[in-house]
Amino acid sequence: MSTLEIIVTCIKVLAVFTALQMAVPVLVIMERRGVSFIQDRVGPDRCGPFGLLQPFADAAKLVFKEDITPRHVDKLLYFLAPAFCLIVPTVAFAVVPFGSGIRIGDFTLSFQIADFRVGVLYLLAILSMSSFGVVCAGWAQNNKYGTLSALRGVAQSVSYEIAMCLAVVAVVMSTNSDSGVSSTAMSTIVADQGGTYLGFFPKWNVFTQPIAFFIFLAAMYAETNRTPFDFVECEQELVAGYMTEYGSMKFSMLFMGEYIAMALQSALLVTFFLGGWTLPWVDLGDGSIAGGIASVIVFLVKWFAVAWLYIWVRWTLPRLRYDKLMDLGWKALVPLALINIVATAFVGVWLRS
Amino acid sequence: MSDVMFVALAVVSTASALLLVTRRNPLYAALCMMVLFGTTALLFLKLSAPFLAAMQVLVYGGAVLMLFLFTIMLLNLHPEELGSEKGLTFKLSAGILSAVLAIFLIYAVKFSRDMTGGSFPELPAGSAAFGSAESVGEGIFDAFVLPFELVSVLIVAAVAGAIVLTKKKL
Repeated sequence: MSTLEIIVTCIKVLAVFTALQMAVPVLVIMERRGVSFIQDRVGPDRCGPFGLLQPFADAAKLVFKEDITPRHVDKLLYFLAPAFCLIVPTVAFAVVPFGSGIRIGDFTLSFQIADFRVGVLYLLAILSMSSFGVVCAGWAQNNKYGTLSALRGVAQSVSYEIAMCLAVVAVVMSTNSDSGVSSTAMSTIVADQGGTYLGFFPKWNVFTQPIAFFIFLAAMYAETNRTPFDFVECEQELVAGYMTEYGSMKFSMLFMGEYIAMALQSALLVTFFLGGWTLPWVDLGDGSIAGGIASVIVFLVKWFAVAWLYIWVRWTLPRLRYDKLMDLGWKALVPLALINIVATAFVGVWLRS
Repeated sequence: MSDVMFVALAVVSTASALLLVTRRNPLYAALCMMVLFGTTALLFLKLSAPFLAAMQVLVYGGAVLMLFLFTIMLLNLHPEELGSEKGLTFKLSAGILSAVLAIFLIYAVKFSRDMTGGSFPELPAGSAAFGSAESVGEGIFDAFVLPFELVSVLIVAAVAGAIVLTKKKL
């Protein structure tokens, strides 16, 4: 790795980190104005034009709040948990390709921090630790709401993680890796979805793997603890679940971690199923500056659409019953994902022969 | 550079392993275990076995650790329920046993170094993909497909056995 590559990678890390931090206020105002629209009311509209500065006002309020540490908490874990909630989804973003790349002379600036050959595995490995923050927060605050919330969080994320991993396995299986590239690299999965069938139909995985898409979609809501699967912090039962004893900046870190996880899952859905940065009818991966910028815009538009879907679902569907959640995970999604894998294997062999 | 990384990883993983067995609070022990699994995965990565590294975090850091946490939280032990401090005889005998094991391991490393003349053999040519997801997959599903399937039968039997043992009424 040359010095130039190291410097460029550091700049990319900083850029992605900053973009993720800035994605939180955008998502917050989208959510608040979105829910107002769905519930037929106005929502926050006093701060700045259309209430766009509301999240910054919220952040300023949280920063200036008194930072209280309750006396009965487990100090170390109480302080570690918010950091953990924030770090895990941020770290997972390292392998998400958010654009095609720009070629300047011999040097290619790819819009992805690290393109591992085992990128998908890296992602699943990081995601499998995502509930650790919830567990630490829930347990450290030494209170019944928190403990119940943490228990539910672990059970839920372990159950739905399996379905999610199996859905991704089907995607990896259907990714073409004939030309020596690794089908577990994120860039290959995106590049394979570029182009069209019959000249007009997008080659996105959502059309070739519809079952995997819906399994991933359902597991996505469960993994980020949002309605209809928000058992971790359902307000009517658990106050705020694992966030109950947190205040000030530590609360806002938990809050940001949750929104970054939502941003991550939206980006993953786009990458795995909606073609990532590719546009079916135009080749954006030619290395030109215009193509590179256009690919980032395409990715952002798709990402916003999925993020809106997240908000739309949250404020439309009621919460499931807890046993129904487990039934859905173990008795419907996991078997369905397994059948999908076997079917993908058969179709793949049949297409190849 | 490579040696510095190895020493740093080795120190952190050994320290976290030590902390793991000395913590009295099970949740702290689990936290140390996570650090241990993470550094082990990084060591695998340094040995150019990315698949093994990913599996280490995915299976141990994710699934196994979460299962432990789930159990710890269900038990929800109070400090007075953690049991009394072990006696001096126990500590002494455990220390001696660990020291003997450590001496054996150091001797084994020294022996293998002497056998190879102080340097470990280079990997044979064409094994650049050794440890990659592709080569592991080819090994499992091509060369060793029968043992692999037999192992999966064994695992299914174990899962069925666990269900039979825990369920009072089937």
